[in-house]
Amino acid sequence: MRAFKIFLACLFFIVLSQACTKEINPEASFKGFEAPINFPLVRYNFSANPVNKAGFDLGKKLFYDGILSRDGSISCGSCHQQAAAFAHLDHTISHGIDDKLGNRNAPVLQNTAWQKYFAWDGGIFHLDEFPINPITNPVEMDEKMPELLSKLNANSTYRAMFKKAFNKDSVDYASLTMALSQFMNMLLSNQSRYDEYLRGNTSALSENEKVGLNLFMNKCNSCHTAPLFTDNKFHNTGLITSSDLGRATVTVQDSDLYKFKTPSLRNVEKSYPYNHNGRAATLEAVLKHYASEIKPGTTVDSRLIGGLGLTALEQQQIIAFLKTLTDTHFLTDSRFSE
Amino acid sequence: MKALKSKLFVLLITVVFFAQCKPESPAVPATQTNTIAIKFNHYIADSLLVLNTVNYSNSIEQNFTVDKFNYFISNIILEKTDGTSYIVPQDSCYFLIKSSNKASQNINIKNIPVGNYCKISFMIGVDSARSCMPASARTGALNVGAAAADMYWTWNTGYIFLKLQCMPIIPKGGDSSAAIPYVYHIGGYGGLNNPTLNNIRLVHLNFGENLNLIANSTTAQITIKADALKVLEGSTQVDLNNTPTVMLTPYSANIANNYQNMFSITHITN
Repeated sequence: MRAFKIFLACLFFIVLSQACTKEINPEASFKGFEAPINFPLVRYNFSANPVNKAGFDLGKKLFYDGILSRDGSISCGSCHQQAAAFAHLDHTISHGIDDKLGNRNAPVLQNTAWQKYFAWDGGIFHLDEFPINPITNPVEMDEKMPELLSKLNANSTYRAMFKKAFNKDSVDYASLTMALSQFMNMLLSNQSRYDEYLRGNTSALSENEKVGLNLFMNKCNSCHTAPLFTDNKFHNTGLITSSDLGRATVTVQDSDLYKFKTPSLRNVEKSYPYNHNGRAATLEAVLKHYASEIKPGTTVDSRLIGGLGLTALEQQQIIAFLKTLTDTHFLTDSRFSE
Repeated sequence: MKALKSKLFVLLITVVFFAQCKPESPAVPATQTNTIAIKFNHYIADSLLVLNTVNYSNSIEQNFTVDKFNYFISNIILEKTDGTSYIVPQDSCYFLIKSSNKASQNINIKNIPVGNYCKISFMIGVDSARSCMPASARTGALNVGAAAADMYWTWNTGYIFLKLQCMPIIPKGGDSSAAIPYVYHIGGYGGLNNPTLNNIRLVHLNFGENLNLIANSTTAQITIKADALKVLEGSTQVDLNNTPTVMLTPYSANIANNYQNMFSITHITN
C-alpha cells in the first residue's frame, strides 16, 4: 500500500513537471503585436508604446478591474464584452455606475491600431487618450484620475506590475493609458470566414454569401471599406435627427451635424444593437433603413439619398455575407478573456 | 591574456574617441543668467478677487460670487530693449494658474540672460503641438493625472484653457438649491485632423519701465494683474442669465477675445 502511495506521488510530480515545461517561458512565447499582411499600415505608433507581455498583462488586469470606477462596481469589461466583440451586448446605450445611462452605444473594440478616431463623434484622436473618457464620465465610471492613480499606487500588486512593464516606481497617467492600449491593440480580429476566403480558400464562403459579398462591394464598401470595414470617416446616414449633434459636437461645424463615425462591421452579427444610439436591434432593421428609410437632411451623405435600392432578397444576401465577418477565434480567445 | 588585450584595445579606442570630441578652442564664457519671478494677482475690476464669499457685480448689474478662476499660461517670450528676445524653453514654459492656489500664482522663469527687458508675451492656453503630444510629454502643469485633472476635456481631447465658474446671489429666503451656476470653460486648439475652433490667444504686455536684470539680484519680478471680470466684459458683454454656460461653441471665441485683454502690468521690480 505504501509503495502504491509513493508510486502515486511520483506519478503526480511527473505529470506536474510536464505540465510546467509546457509553459516554461511565457515571455518567450508571447508574440506581441503582429499586423496581418492584408491590412493597411497601422496608425498606432508602436515605437512609442511597443506591446510586451508585462504591459499586456497589466492592461488586461486593468481592463477587467472595477478599481477604475469610483465605487469599484464598473470595469471596462462591464460594457466591453468579448462575446460581443467588446461591445455591450443587447444594450442600446451604455449603462454605467449607479445604473446611470449614457447617450450612446458602447462600440466594439477590435483592430484599434488602425483607428484614426475614437468615440462616435471622433472627439478623441489617440487610443491612449480614450480610457480617461469612460473612467471620468459621471455616467460611466465616475472616477477622478488623481484618485485612481492613488488607489493604484496604494496597491502593491499594481505597483510591481507597473514597475515591470514601464520601469516606473509609481503609477502615472501616461503608463496607465499605455498599458490599456497594449491590451486593446492586441485585440485583433482577422480570422473570420471572410478572411479565410481572402487567403485563398474559395469554399470558405457559400454561393449565397459570395453574392452578398459582391452586393456589399457595390453598395456598402465605399464607407465600410474592407478589410477593416470602415473608412475612418463621419457620415450622416439619414437617421431621425436628435439632440445628439454627432461630429459637430467636437468640430463645431454645421457641415458635421448628425455625422457619426463609420463603425467597423467585423463581428457585426455579435455586436447588436446597432447605430450610435442602439436604435436598430437587428441587421434586418439596419438593411431596411439603408434600402428605403433614409430621412432627408442637409448633411445626409449624397450616396444614400433615395436609399440604396436593395431588394428584400439582396438585403438578406448582404446579411449572409456580414455574418461571414464573425471571428469566433477572436470572440473566444482566452488571452483576452476575463 | 587575450581578453585583457582586447579590453585594453577598447579602452584605447574610447580614450582616442573622447580626445577627439574635446573642443579645440577655449570655451566662450557662459552668458550670465538670473531668474525673473512673475506674480499674477487676481482681481474683479479694482478689488482683489476673494473666492466664494464676496459678492461682485458686472456692468449690467448682475450679481455673483466666484467659485473658480483657473487658466493656462504658456510659451512665454521676454523681449529686450535691443530687440532680441529670450524664449522660455519648451520643457519649462507651461503653467497652470489657479485662484484657489496661491503658490500657482507665482512662477519663476530661470536661466534668463541678464539685460534690459521691456516686454513680455505669452499664450493663454496650450499650443496645438503640445496638445497633440503623448501623455508622457505632457507632464507638470499639463499632467491630466494630477495638476491638470480638471482642466482637460476627455470627450474632445484637449485642455480647457480657462475656467471661470460663478454662482448667482440668492436673495435672503430664496431657494439656493435652484441656483444655476455660471460656467465658462474655454478651450479649443484648432483640431488635429479637422479644423475647429481655435481659442488660443496671445498676450503682449509692455512693461512701461524697463526691467534691468543683473546677475546677482534676487528681486527681479513682473507683477501682472488678471481681471477675471474682463472674461465677461469687453468686446462682448456676457449676459450671465442668457448664456449661463459656455464651453465649446462658436460663442466661446467671444469670451476668449474678452480675456485676451484681462492682463495688465502693475509693477516691475529690478
